[in-house]
Amino acid sequence: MNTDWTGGYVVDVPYTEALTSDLCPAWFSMIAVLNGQPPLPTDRRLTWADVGCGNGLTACMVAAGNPNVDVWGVDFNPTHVERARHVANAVGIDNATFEEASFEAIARDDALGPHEIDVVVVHGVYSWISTENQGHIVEFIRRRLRPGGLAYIMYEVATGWAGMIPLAELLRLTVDADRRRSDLALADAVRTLLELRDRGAKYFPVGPHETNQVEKMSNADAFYAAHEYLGSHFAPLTFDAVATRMAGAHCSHLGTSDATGHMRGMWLSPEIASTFEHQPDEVAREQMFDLVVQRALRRDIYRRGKATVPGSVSEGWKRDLRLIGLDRDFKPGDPFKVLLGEVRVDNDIYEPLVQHLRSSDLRLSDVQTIHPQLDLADAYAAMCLLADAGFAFPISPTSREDEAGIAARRMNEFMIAENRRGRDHLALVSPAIGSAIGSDFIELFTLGELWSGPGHDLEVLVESVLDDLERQGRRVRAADGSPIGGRNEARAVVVEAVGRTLGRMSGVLRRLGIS
Amino acid sequence: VAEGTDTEVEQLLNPLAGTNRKASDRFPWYDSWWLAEYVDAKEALARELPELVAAFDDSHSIFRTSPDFETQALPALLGTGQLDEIRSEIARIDDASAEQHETEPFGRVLVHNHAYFDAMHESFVELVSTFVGEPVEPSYNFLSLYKANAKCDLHLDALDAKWTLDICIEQSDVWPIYISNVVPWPEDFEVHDEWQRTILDAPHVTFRSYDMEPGDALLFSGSSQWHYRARQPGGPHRYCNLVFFHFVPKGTRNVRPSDWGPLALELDEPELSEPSTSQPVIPRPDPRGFRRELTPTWLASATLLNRHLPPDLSRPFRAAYLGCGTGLTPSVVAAVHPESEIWAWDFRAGQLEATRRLRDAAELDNLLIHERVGLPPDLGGRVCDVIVVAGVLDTVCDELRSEVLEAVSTNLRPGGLLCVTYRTTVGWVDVVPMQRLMRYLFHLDLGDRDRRVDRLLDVLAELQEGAAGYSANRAVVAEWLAAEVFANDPATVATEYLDDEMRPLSHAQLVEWLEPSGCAYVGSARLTDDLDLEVNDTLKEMIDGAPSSLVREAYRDLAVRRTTRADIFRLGEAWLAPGDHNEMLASLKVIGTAPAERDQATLRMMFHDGRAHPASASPAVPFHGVDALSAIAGIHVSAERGSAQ
Repeated sequence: MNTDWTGGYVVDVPYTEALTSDLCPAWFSMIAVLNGQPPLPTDRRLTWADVGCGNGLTACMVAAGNPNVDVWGVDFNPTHVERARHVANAVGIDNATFEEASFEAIARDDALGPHEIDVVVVHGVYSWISTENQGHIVEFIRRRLRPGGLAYIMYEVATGWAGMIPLAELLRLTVDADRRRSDLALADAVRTLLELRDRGAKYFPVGPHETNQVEKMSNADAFYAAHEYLGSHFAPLTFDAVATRMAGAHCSHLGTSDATGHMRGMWLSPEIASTFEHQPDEVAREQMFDLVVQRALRRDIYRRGKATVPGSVSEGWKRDLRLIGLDRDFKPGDPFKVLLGEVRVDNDIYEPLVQHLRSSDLRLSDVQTIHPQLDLADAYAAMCLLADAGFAFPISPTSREDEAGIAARRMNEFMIAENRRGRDHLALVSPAIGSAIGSDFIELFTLGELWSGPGHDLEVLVESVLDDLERQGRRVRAADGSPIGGRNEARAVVVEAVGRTLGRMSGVLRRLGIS
Repeated sequence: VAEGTDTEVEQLLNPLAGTNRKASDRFPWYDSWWLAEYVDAKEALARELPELVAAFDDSHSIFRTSPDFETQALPALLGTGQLDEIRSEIARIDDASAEQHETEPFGRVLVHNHAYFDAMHESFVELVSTFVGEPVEPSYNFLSLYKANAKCDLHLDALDAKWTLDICIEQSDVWPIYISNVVPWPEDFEVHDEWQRTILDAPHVTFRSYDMEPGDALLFSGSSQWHYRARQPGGPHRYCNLVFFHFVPKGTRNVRPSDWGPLALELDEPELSEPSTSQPVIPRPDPRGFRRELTPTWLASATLLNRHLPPDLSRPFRAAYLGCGTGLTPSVVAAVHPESEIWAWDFRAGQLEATRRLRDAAELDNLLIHERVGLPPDLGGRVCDVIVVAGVLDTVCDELRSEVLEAVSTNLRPGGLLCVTYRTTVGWVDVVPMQRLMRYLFHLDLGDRDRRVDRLLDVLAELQEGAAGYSANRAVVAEWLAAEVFANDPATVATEYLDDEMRPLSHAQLVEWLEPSGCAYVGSARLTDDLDLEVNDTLKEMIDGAPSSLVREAYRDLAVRRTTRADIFRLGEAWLAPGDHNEMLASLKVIGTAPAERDQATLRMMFHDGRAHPASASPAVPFHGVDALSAIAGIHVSAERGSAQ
């Protein structure tokens, strides 16, 4: 009897529990409109499927932040599904369900999961599984994705990851020979790999992204790294391979979820840009672009059927976009950091926009009022760039603060409580955006204290936060990242950070519906 | 004169109606690639070897159709029951099997060589032979599912569709096909904007329309009769499902431009040896020359050196070459082991043909060629002492790979040796993304192959000039582009690097695939690979201390950035006791093959040079009777060494 149910996937340690904030309806709608396609419908409930949902934190975030969305998460690993159900139950989320099933099962058994799905999300899965399982996922999309629905597929790309294939295999072979649990054996395997490099193996140097990955391996989250490198099907892909398969599911490439992933003008020299202009085939252009930018990761959004949209309608959708500021400092001259790298921006354009976001939402009309020289397309692109670089986030058009606010609060309280027990949830769910923003332990523990009851003054809050940090052995860090030793030294940093949180509570956190 | 209505003819002639990827620049209709190849070849011969033009032309006379032949209408060839069965088969075809590459301009999806239709194809051989007046054999078949607004532009088929049996399965409306009388191949065709009109109006070309109902069939000579279907009227419900069974004269299935390699060998005319532009381009991982490390004697010696019991080659043995290249290595082996049985197989028809010619010329009765292209042999049980799989597993699709591995499992006897040569992941992984783009651009483009290669190289050059990141940051890729792509002629680039299925492998992958067969790794067929001569002492220390055999080989490949491997496996482990090993080593004889003054040899590899002091020698075995092969192949085959150089 064949007892191996893992499909070559790592199962002896669970996957990480990070929240991926751009996997939410508002973000997908923003990207769809950027690419001339309709946003997700807002006049009915949406069905959202997270295929390979892992521990379900992102799926729970979508459910908690978007009461109009029915979320279905599926994973083949029972440990993941048990955890996802626990989170949903603990938070009291009633619009998310989780199921244990293989990719093959969901491709074949129509009784598993919803019948018509608006959005299928495949995150952190596709380039780690066998080609057969990739086929099952595409078949699932073909059978279930509603016409006009969106499918998001994230995968590692050979132009930035290919060089890791032999190294990942070496890690896997070394861990196999070790026989300890994956995360434990991996640390030694990484040391051996680095030793091989340092002793002069001719395979090195590898490409720049791969070099960066090798450097980061020693300090990487062991659970993440085990899943990243130790699966027997680790195989970065090229765009044509995925696009061809998705064509079989009647899906056309819409764009990448990172808005700047398409703005080729930002990344191409004028000489190369003309080569792209002369290439009429989209798949060829995407592959050429990946080579030029040495893309390591693609976060592609496909649409089942491409809509024909009159310009006036598209303009209306663009005018509907509202961004909320995330209170991020704008430093003139500093490049914007986005998925593909760093982008130099015009301070005169972006500084006033970021300034505007500090006090109110930003609409297209605001952008054009501030910068009358920008046409509609450029103004919308500027908004997307602000979102991509983390200065703003699209507001959920269906946000109902009462309902979503309650669910989001419960999820935030749950994550803070788990942080106090040693987990690392560095995020806060926002009902305004139907997603989450990044946070830190001091902010989270401060909020936890404040939400636990009234009557906290600053001193009590600070001591309480220090107690929380100490109990879990977490070190307070100075602005340059260096750890701070004693409680007294740490207190000064915590005082400042708690004060900042209190300020954010009446500012950005309130606007986001978090506080 | 075309019988279609004016509207239909206008639609047919609409220059914006779409393009045909299988068309050539010179002959602008679908499936004209073969004619372009044929005319190019004739012109090349006229230039270089004019005395052979007539013979070349004659060699194709079997594909010409008699002008007297007339299209045969075969009403109700299939009955209701058979049609129902076919419809059920069609309903079972999943989307993944349906080919989408002709949705434009034809408006159809295709399924080629479906198992159900393959069986039916065979059943029509007698009927077609009778009607066309010559014995035929199947070439290929396909199911064509035409959708609304479908059309089929005016064209002649390629040679492998000399005879076509077109059967209507079901349709929303009667959709006439227009077929001309038999015409000579239009070798002197002049391209201009109104070329279709010229054909339709030509005085010697007469078209007739045929209406078909479900079950009706038409038999015609597609490569010599112009034919087309005008665009179907619109409407989402319109469809037409047809099956096309193609036949060629018996015994000629492999006579196509893509298989002219053997002819080229004989004529020394490289232009003929290039594969067709529209057929899958297969690289030749094996050099045309002889490879001594793939001979049984050498493999047995390498096995012994690695302390494993080698097979007994002093008695007649059986060896199989799965992936025989141009056949030189198996031919040499057959020549020096006349009592033994040597099998040759390749998934490329052209390679088998080359092997066959070599065998016939050298009268090597003990060299047996497995004729089923694309299907590895079952030689009748576990009877092979040695199987060599050279340059196959890193080139073929998953399905054929499984079949090759199955053939190994079926044929290798316990104690037998398997040698697999392949390109490694370590050596090629960085090249793959660049090569995928090249292949994509190549297959996207239209027209003459060399011009398509030139155009894609222009794009690569532009990307490089613009300091595009990928190759600029990867020395291996930049070096490969400079040495292997830009420096080579288009034909070589197409042959070596524009194949659809280049997938480098790792040693661990191969071991995993072979595990079910019981084959255990012995060592490298290249003796110096296991001596780690090129690595420094600290790396050697790591290699020696590797926790497993798989990790050790991974270290080795990474340490020297190995680009190719030649792994020997043995079916069943049999380690030799030290005493036995020493005794057998003592009886091993080698013979010098390098000039006396050479005390150091350079091991040339693609991405780096390593210097080593290999024993430039071949194992020696006593055999004789090889003069003919030496003369034919232009190499020296040594009776004493059981090898060649």
